Amino acid sequence: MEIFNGVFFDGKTSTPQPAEIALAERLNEIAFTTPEGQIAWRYDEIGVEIFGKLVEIRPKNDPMCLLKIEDAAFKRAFLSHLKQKNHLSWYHRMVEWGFKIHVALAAGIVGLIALSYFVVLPYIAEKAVVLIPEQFDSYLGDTFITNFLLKNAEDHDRSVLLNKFAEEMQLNNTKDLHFWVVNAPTVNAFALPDGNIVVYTGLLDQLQNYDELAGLLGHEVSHINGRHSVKMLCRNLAGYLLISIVFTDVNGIMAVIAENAQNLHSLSYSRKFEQEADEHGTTLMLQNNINPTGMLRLFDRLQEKEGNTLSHIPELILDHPSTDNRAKNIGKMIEKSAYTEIPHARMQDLFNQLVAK
Amino acid sequence: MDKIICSQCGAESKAHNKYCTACGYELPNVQAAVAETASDNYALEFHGTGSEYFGIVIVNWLLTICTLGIYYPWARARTRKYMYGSTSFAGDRFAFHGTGKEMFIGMLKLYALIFVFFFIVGLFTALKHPYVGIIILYLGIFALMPLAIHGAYRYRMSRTSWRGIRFGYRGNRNEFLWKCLKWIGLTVITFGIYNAWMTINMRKYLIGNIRMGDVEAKYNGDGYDFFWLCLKGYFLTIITLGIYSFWWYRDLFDYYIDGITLQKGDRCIRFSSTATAGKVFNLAVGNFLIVVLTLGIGFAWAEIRQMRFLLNNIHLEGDIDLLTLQQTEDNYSDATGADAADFFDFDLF
Repeated sequence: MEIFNGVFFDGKTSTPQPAEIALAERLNEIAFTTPEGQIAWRYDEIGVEIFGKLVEIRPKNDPMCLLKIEDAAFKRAFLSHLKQKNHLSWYHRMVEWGFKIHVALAAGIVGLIALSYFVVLPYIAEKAVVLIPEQFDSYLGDTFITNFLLKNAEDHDRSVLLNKFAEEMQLNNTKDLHFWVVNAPTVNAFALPDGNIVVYTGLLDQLQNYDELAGLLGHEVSHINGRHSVKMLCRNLAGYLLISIVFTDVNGIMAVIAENAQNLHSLSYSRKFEQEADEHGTTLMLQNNINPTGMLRLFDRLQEKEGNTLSHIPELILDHPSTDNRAKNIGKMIEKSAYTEIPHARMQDLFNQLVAK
Repeated sequence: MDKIICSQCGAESKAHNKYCTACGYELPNVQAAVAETASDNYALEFHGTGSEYFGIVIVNWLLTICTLGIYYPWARARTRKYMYGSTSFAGDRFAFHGTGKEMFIGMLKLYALIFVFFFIVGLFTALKHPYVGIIILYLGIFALMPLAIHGAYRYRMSRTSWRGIRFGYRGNRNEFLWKCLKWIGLTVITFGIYNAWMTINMRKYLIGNIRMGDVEAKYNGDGYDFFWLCLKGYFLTIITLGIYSFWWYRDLFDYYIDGITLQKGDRCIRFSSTATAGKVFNLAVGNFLIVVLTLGIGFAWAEIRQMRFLLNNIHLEGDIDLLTLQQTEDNYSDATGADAADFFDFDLF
């Protein structure tokens, strides 16, 4: 039996009364003596508040009665009693965890928020693409290509040849495809969500065999088939999208995406999407009985463009996988697949005309 | 009681001893605590610490996230309990008795109100009369604001106590509503000038209806003085590119605090402010830096500094005997009290 001193207020006046508290380990109650008599409160009938070393105890059915004890020894003894008897609320237990654990928790919560913002949210945004109708892809692409062709010179003759070349291939496309050759030294090509594909003469002039061009088209078409560009826009704009989704405003989502459509040609796909397009592109080549090593040679052309500046930067800090790694990945894929190459005279002929121009 | 038993060794010492005569353990100062209250000790103190409060905030965050936000009202009740319990008047702490469940119901009522407003606006928009919906929305907000203030005061006061003495708010809902509508009307007619008078009138009504047992609160203020104080503060702040704002805030704080008195019969306690512009600067700039430099995590400390500023800058003087206050306010949990509860008796902010 331990004895402590406290102050009691009876809930009728503000007059403090000295109280002598006895804590008995075997009892399920706190008992104390005031000048007016003896009082006992059962542990399951009291509310406990702790402020520093001050403990305030009130009966739940009459919270104006108050017993307060400001004594660190009492706090320790009383809390361990409550814990033993299983009357310490889980909330008090959590608050009593201590500063270090609370700081760790705060770090955890901040980490969780960052994780949801940078990883979970974009993932959900990408999946939410099913909410956006396919016509929207067409609208986006249309708007972009109209503007783009105003500013960039199309090489009409070569465009016609490129379209004929693509017609020779089975591309598993879900949308009508249209190919544009644009005069510019840029060693690049890009696909728009509506089926328009732009190839710069800078890249076209680097190619040395028709299977390389077939690889390029396969790759770009796979971006379209997978709706990669709309998915990427969704990912990049996930923060804005969250707000729109909260207000279930699908039109708002599309408006935000449309505003960002001018970036379509410089959109950098995630590593996953590039790899997916490489693999599907290679599969398309295999299906068309075209030598898949054309894809590997295509990577070589792209790597020449990259030069030495990027090759030393590890893949992790680059937005999309380095060409080297992509080539290795496709190399392995080709090794595993048995393919039959059937020389395609018509494609070879169209390719020769394209390059000769 | 002239003997005190040491909680460390069980030996008896004289009650006025600071340390146990047997083992030297620091004895709780019960006698002094009881005796101290008899003198004119009206000290307001804040005992909360940033690290303690941080623990509560973090646990609240964790629970709120885990319950997808449902825990939020319980969290509000917890933080308020801590803030009240960390504030002492004449050596004894205040207590907040509101529960998370009550606040949860309050939150549901708030959502219901918002839903009704959205519904009305949406309905009139669908009927091609959107402006009718907007007008109803604004009128509704003007009419509801006084009801919400009244309800919040009733709720908060009925759940506050000190030394086991209940606080209370005795304002009359309809009286307050009509007064407010009159003040709002005058403010609109005078293009906002009457706002100063409205603020002071509202304070007089709200504070004047607060009870702490048989102690009554009063607020003395004058709309005219307050108007000039605001006008002066506004223009000097603009002229000095914001520098005067610390003095302005100090003046506003002074005007609020200095007007409050507590009365019991012919005895009273007067409030006076000891704030200075330097202290305001220290609070505002310090809190800004704490929150920004810790990317928001330090806001627990900022809130504690805010409370400390508030309570450390109120000085009380008077002659009310705080040992003999009587319980006067009805128990809110009484069966009789329950039916008096209003739809608007909740307070989340």
